[in-house]
Amino acid sequence: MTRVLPLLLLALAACATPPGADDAVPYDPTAPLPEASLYGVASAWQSDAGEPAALADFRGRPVLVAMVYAQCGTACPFIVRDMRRIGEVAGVPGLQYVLVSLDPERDSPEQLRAFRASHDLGDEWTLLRGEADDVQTLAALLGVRYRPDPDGTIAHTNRITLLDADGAIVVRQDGLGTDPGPAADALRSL
Amino acid sequence: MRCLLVALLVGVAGLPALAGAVHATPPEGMALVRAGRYRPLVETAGGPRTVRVEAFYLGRTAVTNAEYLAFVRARPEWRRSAARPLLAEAGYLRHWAGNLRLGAAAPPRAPVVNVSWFAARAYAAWRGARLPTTDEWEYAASASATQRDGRRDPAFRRALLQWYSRPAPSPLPDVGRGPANVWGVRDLHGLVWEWTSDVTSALVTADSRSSRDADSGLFCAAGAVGAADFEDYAAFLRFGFRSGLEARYVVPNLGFRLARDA
Repeated sequence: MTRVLPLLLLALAACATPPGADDAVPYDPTAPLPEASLYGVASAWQSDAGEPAALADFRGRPVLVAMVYAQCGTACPFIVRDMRRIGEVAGVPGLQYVLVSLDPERDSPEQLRAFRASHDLGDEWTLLRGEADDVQTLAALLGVRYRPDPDGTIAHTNRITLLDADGAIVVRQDGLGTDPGPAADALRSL
Repeated sequence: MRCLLVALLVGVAGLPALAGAVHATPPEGMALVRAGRYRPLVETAGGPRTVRVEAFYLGRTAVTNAEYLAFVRARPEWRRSAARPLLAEAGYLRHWAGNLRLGAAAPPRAPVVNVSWFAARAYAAWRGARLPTTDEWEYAASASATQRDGRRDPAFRRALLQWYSRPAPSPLPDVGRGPANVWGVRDLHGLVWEWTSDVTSALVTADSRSSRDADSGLFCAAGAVGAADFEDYAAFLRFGFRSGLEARYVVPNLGFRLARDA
């Protein structure tokens, strides 16, 4: 038994260290982006702080991104809640949450700051607005369909997209109140 | 006082007014489509039954293979072997003989097809233009040779019916062979389908409001038009076609034309 114990401890220690963790290299932000990366598509944004921003600013960390608008009374608060749930279930550090406005004309940085305050969004959340062309391009990349209606609402796809550290799409979660399990699993496996 | 006011207005607005006067001549290859109203196929929440379309310039013809070749010469990232799969699926420019060779299946004056929405937008930006919105396109396409709204014209309807019931020839014929409509625009019907700028909004799937999902919107609209009314049937076909498109898709009979603000 005294001979077996060290072996057991050794085996346990081996199990406790995930395979490959020892040789994990830090993310290299200067490496070429893969073809599937959204970060290689040029677009320009402005944050709710009024600062210029680029999607590639999030390179190196996983990102949950969704397209919403500040005046959205129905679906958008649920999208925020669903994004939070994915993050809570996954429990991984460094996750970024990005909300991009579908309504850049009305969603001024002030409007977005009000949205941030009313939903109690922390520093890990980024709110972006951009020119209509860039909004259309990003929507096309994410597969988000939207249509501004004359009553002032915007009908849109309820979709949360997980991007990996390179900005490539990993998984999409559609609908409201969807089981966060698959997205959280994908997030943990990155 | 009035003179002073006029002088002030001229002072403030003089330059843009002059610039507008210069643009009264349409840019090369484009026709002026005057402002008007049209009724979209699909009604939207709380919206009017017709939408106003502001005056705009629209390409008299679709963009040709030769014109697109000039683009890929200038922008290597849009050559067939270089385009990113994220922005154009496999099959992009597949009817061309090579990266910079058109070949027998792509006559220079035939409309360029097998291009994605991203590619069409990049071309338009390169030309300092844009794609027409779906409303602009549909409004312009409702004009016959003699009327702004030709949809009640039996001859116009017959011509549409003939195209929609005929398979696309290969190679495609040259642009500009079809009759000009009242605006001087050709081939909106009868040659290829065309990308529009807001194709991402053509259909809302997984709508944010369960009371108004896309399918019921589609069927309400379809039920509201008589099956005997062919023009609405054609619009319905276009709506359905656009709804199935994703921005990276390429299709052998889908091209595009340019537009500009007037």
